[in-house]
Amino acid sequence: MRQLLNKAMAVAEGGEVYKRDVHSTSVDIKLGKLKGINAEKKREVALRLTKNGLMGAAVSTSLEDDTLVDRALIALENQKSDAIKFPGEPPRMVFSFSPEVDQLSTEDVTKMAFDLSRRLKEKAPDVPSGVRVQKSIKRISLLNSAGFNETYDYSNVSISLYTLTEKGFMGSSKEYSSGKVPEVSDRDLDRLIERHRLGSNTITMENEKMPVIFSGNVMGALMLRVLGGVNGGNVLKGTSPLKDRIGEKLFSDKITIRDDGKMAFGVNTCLFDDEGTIAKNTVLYEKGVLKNYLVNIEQGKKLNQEPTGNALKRTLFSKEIEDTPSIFDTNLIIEGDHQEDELIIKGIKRGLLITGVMGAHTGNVNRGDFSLNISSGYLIENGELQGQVKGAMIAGNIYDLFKNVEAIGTHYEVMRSIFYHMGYSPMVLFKEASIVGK
Amino acid sequence: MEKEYFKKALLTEDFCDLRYQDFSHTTIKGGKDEIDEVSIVKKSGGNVRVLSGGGFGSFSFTDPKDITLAFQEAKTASDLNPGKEKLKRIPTNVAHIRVSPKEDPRDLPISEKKKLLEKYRSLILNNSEIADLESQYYEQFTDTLILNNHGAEVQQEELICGMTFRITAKKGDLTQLTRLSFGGNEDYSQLLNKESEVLDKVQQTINLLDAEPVKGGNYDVILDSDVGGLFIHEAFGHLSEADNLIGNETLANTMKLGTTFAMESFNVIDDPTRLGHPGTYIYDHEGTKARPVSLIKDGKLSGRLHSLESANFMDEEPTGHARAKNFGFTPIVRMGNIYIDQGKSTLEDMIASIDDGLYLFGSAGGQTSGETFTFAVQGGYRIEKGKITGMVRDLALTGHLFTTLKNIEMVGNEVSFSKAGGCGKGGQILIQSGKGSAPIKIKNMGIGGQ
Repeated sequence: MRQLLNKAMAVAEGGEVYKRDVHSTSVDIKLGKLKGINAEKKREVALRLTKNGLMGAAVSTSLEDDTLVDRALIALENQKSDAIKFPGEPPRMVFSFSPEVDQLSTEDVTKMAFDLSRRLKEKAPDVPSGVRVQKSIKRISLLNSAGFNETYDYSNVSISLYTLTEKGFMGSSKEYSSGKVPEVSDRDLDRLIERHRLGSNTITMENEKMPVIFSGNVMGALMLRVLGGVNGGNVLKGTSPLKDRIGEKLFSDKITIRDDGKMAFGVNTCLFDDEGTIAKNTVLYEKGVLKNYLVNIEQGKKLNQEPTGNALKRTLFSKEIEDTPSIFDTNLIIEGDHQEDELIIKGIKRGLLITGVMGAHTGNVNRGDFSLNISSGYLIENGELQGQVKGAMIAGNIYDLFKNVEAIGTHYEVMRSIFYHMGYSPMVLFKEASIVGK
Repeated sequence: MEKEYFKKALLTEDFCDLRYQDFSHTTIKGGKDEIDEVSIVKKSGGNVRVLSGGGFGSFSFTDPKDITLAFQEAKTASDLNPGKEKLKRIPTNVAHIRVSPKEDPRDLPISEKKKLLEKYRSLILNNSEIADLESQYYEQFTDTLILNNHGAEVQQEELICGMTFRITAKKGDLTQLTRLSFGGNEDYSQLLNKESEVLDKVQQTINLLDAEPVKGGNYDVILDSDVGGLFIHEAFGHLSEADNLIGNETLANTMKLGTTFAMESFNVIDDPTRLGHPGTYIYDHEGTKARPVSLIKDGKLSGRLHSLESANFMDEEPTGHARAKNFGFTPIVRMGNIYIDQGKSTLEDMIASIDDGLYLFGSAGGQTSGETFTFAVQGGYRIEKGKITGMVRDLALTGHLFTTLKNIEMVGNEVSFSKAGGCGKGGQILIQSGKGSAPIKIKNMGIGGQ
């Protein structure tokens, strides 16, 4: 890395070398049979240069790639992205790596998947089910001309459990993702099967306004819109509705939302972000009051805020090394005055529990609009789940919806934003939302 | 890329294959203010698969020196799978495919591509109502070597270039977002002289600011070709990808060939050999020669898209639809260019047949989960008593696949294809995925508004 940086510094004023080594294994089991095992071992390298107030980048799969510096210079000469001052602040320790995960062999991961498949089968021999277990290990190094020279290791185990309907489509599902091996409790398996069985009672909804619970996993679809709002880039462009609104109470005082890059063994825990800003814990909304935006180095200067450590090489649909660092979540955490999940459900006379949605990426996300197909949801009547709702949608805007937070649950689930996990949330009860039914 | 080096590494027993790829991707991106990103990505790597046990083991790598490790790991993984699966049909094609576009984007300097993008950007931004713009020129070239230990040796170049725009208009607190694409194939000349299309799209985006928000409910709708393409891709295309059926006999029963899915004059085809679209290619990433597949013929399920593994499971012929985003992924079944074939109705007849409904234009992304689907559209027009009246905005559609297919009442007499590709599955976004349709009329479609 040092050699590449030296080569770059011969033609540039500032430089940054980013290296990512990835080793991952995934195992899929469907109906008790191993479907396949996929693994990868890859190295990727990114170089960024600054010169005359401009910046350019290039990537490769090898540190020895002779074209890296030239390609970064072509980018620098053709684009108008301002040079950033590379950060040099040394990071503190975070728990992003578990040796226990690192030591898991392909056989161990396969055994883990088979054990889960067997436990599901024992719970409900008549219910077809599937299991996917993925283990990832990464080593990320960043060296820059400001003296930053750090490396951290990252581990993750993600587990997905699902059942299949009698037609062979997805029934109920449950996900886990952690820096350590997640624990799958019997209670979770029981609940998965219980919800699968509710699918045999199909309920068609009419257009109706009613209380709605979003499960922790599905909160990701709404948090994508929260993220679009607090994204410093969107604030500066004027596509977020949150410009000049720091300090305003926009959501119910029952909800607090933070982004914690330092969370021990979180799904997106990191020592530093992909431009070398150390990981932070940033409160976005405290009891409903907007406190901070998520900003990179450049945006932070313009918005008078310290960079938050959220400049990540990714887009909504990819995590490739060539993705320009842009504002994304680390571990979004939803908190509040927690109430028991069962009590929240029991308190509802007539409402919906939503455990799966589609279309999270459609509509005007940055403005907070959503119009989601309820791919998995259950009608609640007099505190009991009655059956599975089919063919309904839920539509609205988060800046209306989040004013109506009634209760925050207790049991945290990993949130999903389409392809990727984005932190953790318990179930959240909203007082009223529009359901578009038959 | 050292072909002989990789050939030597192939295992001599059982089945194994190898895909090694030089991948380059050029992008020029601009936000509202300026072109702020130019990148030329060059990466290389490979993926190997072994079938020595009861299922495939696969391993991706970036360092060619890891080839032996890759085969060892893939074999260990395959052997962990109890049983001994054997492929009944293995491709043995030998071919060298080179691209020869009418105007090759690789021959042009970055500055020329940037200038063209700047020209269209100025046309868009020269309107006070335009509040934001995301614009992009992309060019992806791959040179892929596909080998297996039964003699297949396919080297194939693939090239795609295009431009995409996301245009946001704003009035007060209201914003409206539309999308525009050109190209989506190997020929750079397809990106030239698009000024009038750009101006029309800008005007449409501005007009949407005065549109009424649609009230959620059920409507008779006409989908334009772009939305029709998205509908058939999301609602039916993914279900026709036969890797879903592996180990899932109940779904295989649901998808039994010959089952009536739609009215008699309804036909759906996937054709990777149809030239000039995002999903056009000759060999898939397993070395199978791609062929057009009739998926629904005269309203009945008539075919499905296969990889070697899914064809083996169903005991059907491979169709050449196994593809991967890049060397870092194992091939999975993907659509090539899927489309609803032409019917007999004119658009005028379709509009005249609706008393109270909507004409929807411009796809804006969708998702499917088995038998239910959802997708968003850029805008629409209200149809009242057989006539187009006011514009409507903020539209998302949802439905149950089998019901919706049966609710298709009319199919237009002209097919057109979207210029933008793109499809996500199994964590892989594939830009080389095309879709098209004739306009279609669907009765009683669920529309989610605000």
